Amino acid sequence: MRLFYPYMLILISALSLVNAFTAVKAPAGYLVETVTIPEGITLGVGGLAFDQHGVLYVTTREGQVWRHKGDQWQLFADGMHEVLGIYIDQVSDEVWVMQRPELTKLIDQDGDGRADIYRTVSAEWGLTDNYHEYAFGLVRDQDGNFYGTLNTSLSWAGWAGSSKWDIGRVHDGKMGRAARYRGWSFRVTPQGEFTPWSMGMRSPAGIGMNRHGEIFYTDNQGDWNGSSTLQQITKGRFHGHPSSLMDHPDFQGKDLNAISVEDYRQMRTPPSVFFIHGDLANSPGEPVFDETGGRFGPFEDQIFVGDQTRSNLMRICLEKVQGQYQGAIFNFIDGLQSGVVRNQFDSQGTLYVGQTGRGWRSAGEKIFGLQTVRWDHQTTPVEILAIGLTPEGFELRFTQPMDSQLLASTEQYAIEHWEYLYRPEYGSPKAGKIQAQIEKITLSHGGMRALLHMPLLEGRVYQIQLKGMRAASGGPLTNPMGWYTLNKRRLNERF
Amino acid sequence: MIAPMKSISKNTRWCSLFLLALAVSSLCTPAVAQRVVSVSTLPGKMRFDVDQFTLTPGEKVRLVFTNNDEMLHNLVVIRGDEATSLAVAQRAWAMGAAAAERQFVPDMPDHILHHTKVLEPGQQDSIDLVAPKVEGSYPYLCTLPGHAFSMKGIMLVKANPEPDKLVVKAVDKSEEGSAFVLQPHHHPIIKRAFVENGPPRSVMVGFPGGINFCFDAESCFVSFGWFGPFLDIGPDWGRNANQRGGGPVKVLGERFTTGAGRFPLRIGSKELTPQVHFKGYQVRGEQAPTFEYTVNGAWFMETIEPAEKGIGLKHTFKSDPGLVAPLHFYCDRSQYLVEASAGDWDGNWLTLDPEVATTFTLQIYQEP
Repeated sequence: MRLFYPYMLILISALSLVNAFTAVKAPAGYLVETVTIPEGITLGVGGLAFDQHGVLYVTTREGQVWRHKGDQWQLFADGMHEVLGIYIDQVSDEVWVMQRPELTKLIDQDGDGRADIYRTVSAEWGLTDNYHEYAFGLVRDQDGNFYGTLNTSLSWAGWAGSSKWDIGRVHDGKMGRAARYRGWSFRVTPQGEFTPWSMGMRSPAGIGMNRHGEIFYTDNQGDWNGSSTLQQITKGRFHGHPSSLMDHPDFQGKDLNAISVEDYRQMRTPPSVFFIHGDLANSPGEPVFDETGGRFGPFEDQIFVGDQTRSNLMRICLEKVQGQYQGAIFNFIDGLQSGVVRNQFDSQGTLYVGQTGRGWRSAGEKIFGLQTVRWDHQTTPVEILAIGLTPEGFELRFTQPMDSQLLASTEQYAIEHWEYLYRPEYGSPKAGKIQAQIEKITLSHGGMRALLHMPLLEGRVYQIQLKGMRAASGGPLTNPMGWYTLNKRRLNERF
Repeated sequence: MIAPMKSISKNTRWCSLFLLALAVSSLCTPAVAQRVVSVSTLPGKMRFDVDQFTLTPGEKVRLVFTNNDEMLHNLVVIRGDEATSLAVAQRAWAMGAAAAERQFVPDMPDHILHHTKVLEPGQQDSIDLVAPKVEGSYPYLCTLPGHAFSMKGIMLVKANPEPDKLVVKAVDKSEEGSAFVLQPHHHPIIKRAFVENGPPRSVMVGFPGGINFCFDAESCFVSFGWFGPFLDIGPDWGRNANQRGGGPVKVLGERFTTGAGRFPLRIGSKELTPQVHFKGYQVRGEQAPTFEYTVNGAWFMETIEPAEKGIGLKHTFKSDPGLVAPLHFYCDRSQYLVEASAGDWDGNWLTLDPEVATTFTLQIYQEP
């Protein structure tokens, strides 16, 4: 297949270093670069994927799909309705995209580099003209099934400006369900058969799958979501926002307002990880797994995810405790140029970061953009590698040996914990904040691990701050803070 | 005179105290009642609803900020110019984990005069402040990430303010200058978006000659047509930084109807409403688009382009070669001129036998 044609748009673009003139704060060894987007292209990024030839496909909120490699940009598809996800088969290079109204296969039948068939694969979910009814995607399992997520409707007339979407609000929450399957994830088979998959989502702006086929999504803070979350998607799971239950067969004809918040709490599976609203993230996007085989540094199998508002990248490590995933979140890079919503690794282990800030604004002033994060393949950053549980307390692992005197000193740690309340109100305070005390500290692995012996409480988010911690080689931690979502204590097995 | 007025932010009790104070003051010393300046937001627009308010030097006022938006906001009054204002905001965004606890207020005592707490949607906070003695412009802003680019205003301190300009309300101009006209010149253009008074799953098609139509991609028929310019897609794209987009695009010409107002094809029986499923469309350069759908499982392709005369559309159907029952097509012939390439009319129903139904053309139009 010829990739680019003589008449296509060829423009000079260059990777320009941005570290010099914006306030990028990244761990040592990580370099942020900005991809120059040619004049005239509006690239409000909604989806990123590479084909097997290393061509990056960028789908946009404006309804286009651009192909990009080197200095070249080519319009592959146009005229769609807000494309917020894409999947490319790594053998056949077939392209599927998530538009607001449907899952679409894009086919370039005549091979001129421009899609000519827009094949509807599934459009089984309900859609009104409510701006909040986004459709996000797209991941695919080894059997060829696609998975995506569907936003709730903005139903409260006070914000929506009309009562026409005021259907399915529960206990005076702000979001509802003005059409079927709003607030659900779904599966679509290769034959196009649609199955509603899990429910209780609010604003599930990003979906990602790891090498084991496990699917995770991020949800945004708001009603029923005390803070933004990372959650695992499994069939039939209830994630917590009740409006979607209108489309569950067990709740047909039932009054969702007659079910108590406590009963909903019992039904829901708590999130794997809370993002810390305000401190870390206000509206997280796509979680992408580092499966680069070490080409992106020491964080193999961890999740990288950005935030639309704070224009930062974060890092998440997960572990299974009592059968469910939970884990810790850290900040990673601050000061990106626009709101971060999509991430993809290329075959070299460079992370492409797709951005849009329009409508909600972001700390980075640019309205849209594309940046890359590259590891120099040499420098070991000074970071908390992971936080996990042992039956005794937290185990902290570091990317390199730490100053053992500091590491062993309880003075160096400040730990507090709180609860995010599950409730229909918009967001939650950090409720019931408690300062925790470390009983003793055991070091191992030559100062690369510290076990903090302490009693732990379930249903809490722990903030662990390492105030003056330094590596044995002298450098301070770039991100000296981690937050662990402790749904369950570890009883006997090891971290 | 009246109740002491120290600055606190928990307000319910304070409001009642304040009301009491007002009542007392209006009874005893009506001339010195403390002025209240109220600021809220233009919801969804990332703007305060007040661009400027004016105080006299040393004036005591209560500044009440109400967050009627759907995201977090605060209000911070500073000393400095616009550059200082942005610098304060950027310091706030860089505070990291400490930001929320410190209400997104950076440690810049030389510049920060007053601030509310960070307010959840629906919350209110107030500040009792004494205006600076020095006349001048004192910016206020929201320091949540990114908000200060547009959430800003001026607290003007002036000895003799113009009475009619004490509070200058913000005017929402976010729609102004945001038109983005899409107009076909050489070949048809397709745009999917919400459209005013149209179905949510819409495919709009514009032709260089000024005939345009909206295909309902759920019910699989032309919802309406229009004559004139194509579309203003500004509301969908969002043409400025504060627009979320996703709004209904605007049809720029004069609308016309194009037929039955419902899916017009029947297989076998005229009475049975068929099951239709949209399967997508094909676009090839200068050619008109071809829509594809199934009717009771049978595959149909329909190419739609401007009629050869009048104002209307020409539909070229290719139906499933496996079709065995006759095909019926409905059109109200009292309202439209209709030309069919095959079939027999019975009132408003055109019946096509399977052998002629594989390819046929219908032109449905009105005299200009």
